[in-house]
Amino acid sequence: MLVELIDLTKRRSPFLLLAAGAVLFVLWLPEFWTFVFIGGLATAMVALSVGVVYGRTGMVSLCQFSFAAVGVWVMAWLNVNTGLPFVVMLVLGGFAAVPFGLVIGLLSLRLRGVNLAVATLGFAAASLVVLRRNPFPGSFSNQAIKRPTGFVTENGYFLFSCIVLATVVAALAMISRTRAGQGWLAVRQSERATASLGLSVARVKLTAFSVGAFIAGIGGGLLGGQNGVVSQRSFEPFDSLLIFAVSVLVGARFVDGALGAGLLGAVLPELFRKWGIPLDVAPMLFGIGVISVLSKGADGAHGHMRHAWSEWRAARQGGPQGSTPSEDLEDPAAATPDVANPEALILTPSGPRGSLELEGLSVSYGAVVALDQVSLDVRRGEVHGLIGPNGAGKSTLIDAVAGFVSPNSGVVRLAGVDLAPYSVHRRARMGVRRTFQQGRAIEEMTVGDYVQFAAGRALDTGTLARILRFFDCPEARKRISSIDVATRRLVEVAGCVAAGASIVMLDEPGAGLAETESAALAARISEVPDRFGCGVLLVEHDMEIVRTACDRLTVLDFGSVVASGTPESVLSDQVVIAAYLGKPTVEAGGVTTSGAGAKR
Amino acid sequence: MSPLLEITGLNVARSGFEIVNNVDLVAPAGEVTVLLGSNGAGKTTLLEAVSGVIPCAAGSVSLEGEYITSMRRGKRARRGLAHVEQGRTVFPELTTEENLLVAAPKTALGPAFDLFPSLEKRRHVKSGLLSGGEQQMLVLARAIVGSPKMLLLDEISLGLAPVIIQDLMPVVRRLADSGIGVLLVEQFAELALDIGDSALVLSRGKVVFNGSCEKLRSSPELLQGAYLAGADPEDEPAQTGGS
Amino acid sequence: MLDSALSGLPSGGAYALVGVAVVLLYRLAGVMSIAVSVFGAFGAFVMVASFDRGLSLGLAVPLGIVAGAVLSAAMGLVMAWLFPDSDAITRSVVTIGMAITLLAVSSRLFGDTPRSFPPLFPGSSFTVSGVVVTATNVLAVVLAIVLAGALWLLLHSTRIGVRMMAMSSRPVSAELLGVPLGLYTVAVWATGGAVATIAPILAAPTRQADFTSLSLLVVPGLAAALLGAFRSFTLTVLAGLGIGVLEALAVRWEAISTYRNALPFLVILVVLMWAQRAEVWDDAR
Repeated sequence: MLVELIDLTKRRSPFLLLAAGAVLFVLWLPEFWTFVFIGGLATAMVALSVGVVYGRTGMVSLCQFSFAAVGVWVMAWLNVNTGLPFVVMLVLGGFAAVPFGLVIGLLSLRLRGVNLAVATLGFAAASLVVLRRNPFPGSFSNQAIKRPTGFVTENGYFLFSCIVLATVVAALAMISRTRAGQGWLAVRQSERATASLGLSVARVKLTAFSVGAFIAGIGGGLLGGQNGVVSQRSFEPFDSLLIFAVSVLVGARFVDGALGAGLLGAVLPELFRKWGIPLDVAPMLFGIGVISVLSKGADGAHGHMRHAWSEWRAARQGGPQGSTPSEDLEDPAAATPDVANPEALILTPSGPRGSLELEGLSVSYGAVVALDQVSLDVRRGEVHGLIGPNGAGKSTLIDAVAGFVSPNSGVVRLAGVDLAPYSVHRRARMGVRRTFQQGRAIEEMTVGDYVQFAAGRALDTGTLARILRFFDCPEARKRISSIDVATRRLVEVAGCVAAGASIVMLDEPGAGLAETESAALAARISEVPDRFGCGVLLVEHDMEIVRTACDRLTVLDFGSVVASGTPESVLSDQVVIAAYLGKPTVEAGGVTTSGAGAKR
Repeated sequence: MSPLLEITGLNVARSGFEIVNNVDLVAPAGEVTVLLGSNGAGKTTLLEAVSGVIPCAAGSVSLEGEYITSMRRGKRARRGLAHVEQGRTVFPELTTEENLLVAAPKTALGPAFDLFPSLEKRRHVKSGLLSGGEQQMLVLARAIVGSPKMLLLDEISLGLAPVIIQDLMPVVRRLADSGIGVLLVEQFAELALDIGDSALVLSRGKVVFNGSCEKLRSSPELLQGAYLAGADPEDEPAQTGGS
Repeated sequence: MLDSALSGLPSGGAYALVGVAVVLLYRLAGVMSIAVSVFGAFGAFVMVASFDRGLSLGLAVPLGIVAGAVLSAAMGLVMAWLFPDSDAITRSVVTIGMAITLLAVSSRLFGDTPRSFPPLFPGSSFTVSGVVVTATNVLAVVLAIVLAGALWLLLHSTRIGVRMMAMSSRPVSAELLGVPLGLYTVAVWATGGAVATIAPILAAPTRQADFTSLSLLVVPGLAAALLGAFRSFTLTVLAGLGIGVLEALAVRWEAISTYRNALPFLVILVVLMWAQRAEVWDDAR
């Protein structure tokens, strides 16, 4: 813990120095400007809450200032009715916002995108109505919220706000390293992929909204201390819209971005006032800014800067690899390539080891039968290929096994256990893992972080490096956003086996690979079962890969199994050739088509 | 005279991958040009680049001698290029007739019902409720009523019963005979070759065969190689004897 | 009872109209526009400003509507130009940017103090079995229904409407059939802006009419649109009128009367959660 902190301090030392310089500068400024900067810090907290909910988790929330209002309201009430110390009131105010965050979080389990935006905007408008009816306690009797003793002056309270912000940021950094916290980024990319890694999407979303509401509540509390008596006019729906826009404009996912957003939102208007520029020019600029930033991609100005910065650094250090020595470098023992080393790398299994059995599995979407009485089994230690023309039902089969669609009839068993009662993330934790065609490895993470996140446990650097090298993945410290989709799929596979999966389902891992690469991939896949002690279900169009990697092969056509056996026998089967080359076999009598023509 | 559709040195990339690699293709008016290849060979991507659904990375596409490589989709369509996308892209909440109206005014709908009389009965049915075969006929008819010069057809047989496919293919032939150029991407290779004039086989985005349909029909090992072996068509015949 | 129910009709009609504009923009332009009432408020303020300068009501109202339509069309142009292939979320966030900018611009142009709006039909009212019905009440309902009906007819029985619906369901396929996406998008935005301008003109005489408050008409409008599932004009109009009447009735109820403007939010919650109960997963695969 301490080591981590020191390490963090060391890595961030230029930033920390800069921050310390900025703090000293503000302290040196006249009182009025210090006061303004306090507002900037408080606003930065609200921006940070937008960063958590939208920037990291991808959920549009237009009511973050309503959470802040809850924080102030509770603080003001405590200030009037109790004699609690400021810090306690601040924290209680933050916690008071959490239930509201949870309510919105519950909504987010079913509402997404535009619908969630409308719901949160509705919440913001409703909270305004409630706030007008119930003004902040003490605002009429002029009972100002007393600043904490020792931090009463502007300079003092500014320092206090800095400490609060730093504490919140440190806590957020810790939460971000937990599984749920890492899950935020995963949910932003794809809920299905998140669940496939064994995370409960509901839990991830609820933590995001609770943490966001808490931070916003604390931010509101800081505003309370700044002003003493607060007006509800600072907590109107358009303030939430404004902070959302500024957060998107700057890119408030990271702390420095949130700080920028807060300062921009609170300090820029005051600067304008000083320069004699009309105040409302600021929101005009924010609005235009967010539109122009969005038109260049959704990353935010800060995101673009970060990108440019990392490219500049990479260029300066020669080559995109970068070569900063880092603790990610593997120990000497692991540094020697050991791909040839036949030693198995069987990790502690996450669930029962055993074969996967599908029995009479049928799935239909409305009137369309996607899978019809499919039975097959994937034994531990084998690679079982699943092929068939487009629309044959291969993806549906993977979905059904993973738990995304519930079958109309039939059973899916892992090591004899019926999987029907288990949700997607439960199945993933039991060891049924899958990869996605689109490459769902999380862009913001490094390869090493992702694999450990997927594994759900910390791996020692040696094991991690060996797994990565086995799949020809980039080194652990490389960012996933910097590698291509085909390689991302490999990283996903590495994540699956690192999790100690019993069954790994690979959805077209070879798509988009060059010929030589796909040959190498095929060789790797065929080794996976022995090395990692699991079974592999491989969906693949590339017949070279199928031939090389698979022990057995099942062919689906129109949702039914039309052939199964060894790759050689199956691929020379006339029915299979017909299914692929599309000889409609109706002239052969319609009966011999074994499903192809019979069903429609 | 320049050919109806001419593609030169076309490269198309999708999320950083080169899907179509230096493809040359000529599709004359009145002919069916068949485009074959296994899944992921780049057929759909090629069609999409021609109609402007996705941009080209390099190379050029011209229609009747006019470069359309960077023209907007709507403009290409108005120049006489019709693209029937994969997956029966009807507008499901519109009726059959309304679907046709998107492409042409009411007075021009006649040819659609001449071509597919069975659609006439379903004129006022929401197209989302049509059967798969009817939907495919509809998108084909929809492309026709705009009286295109060049027709791009992407796996119009996908997910249809064989009987229906066998009805559909002669229609494509008749369209070509009426003077339209057709570029046909098809999974049912044999049927496509039966009605086609010339054929190209794509593998990993490159043209591995370019010749007459007849030639490809008479040497099936060429085709089986491209589909089932991935890359090398030559080592295949030995294994096809079974069954 | 009936009196107060009827008194909710001007508001309800305004909600219905904003809802109709929202549905129109969502269905045909693929954007959930938070800025739609800002356009409306802008048009309404142009109307009241020109009326105050001595223009007759009969000219000021069309002028306001045109102003709202032009502003909205201009924003539609920005959208069609900069965000042709963006998803609904990105576009909706863009409208937040538009709303913020235009709010600032408008408060500069018109000031941020409440204005008194001229009633469209001052004083005219009649009595039906003891209940007073004002012309504005009738107009609110009739306008909402007529406009929604006209839009429905446009969509379902003209070729342009059919092509617009095609554009909304599959923009790429529609464009491949020659539909001019950019032109249609701007037309849809203009229509949405015009409809959204009528709403505050209708409702402003009966409520606090500063620019920000009128812009917040978008919230009940969105609630109405949601109740219409962002699709159905009929349901949206009914929902808008219903919310207006509900708010008016709530006035009689001491305990909740001050919270009546929070009702749309509750309505949103209940309906959305029920409608989306099966949406366990997002669309990303």
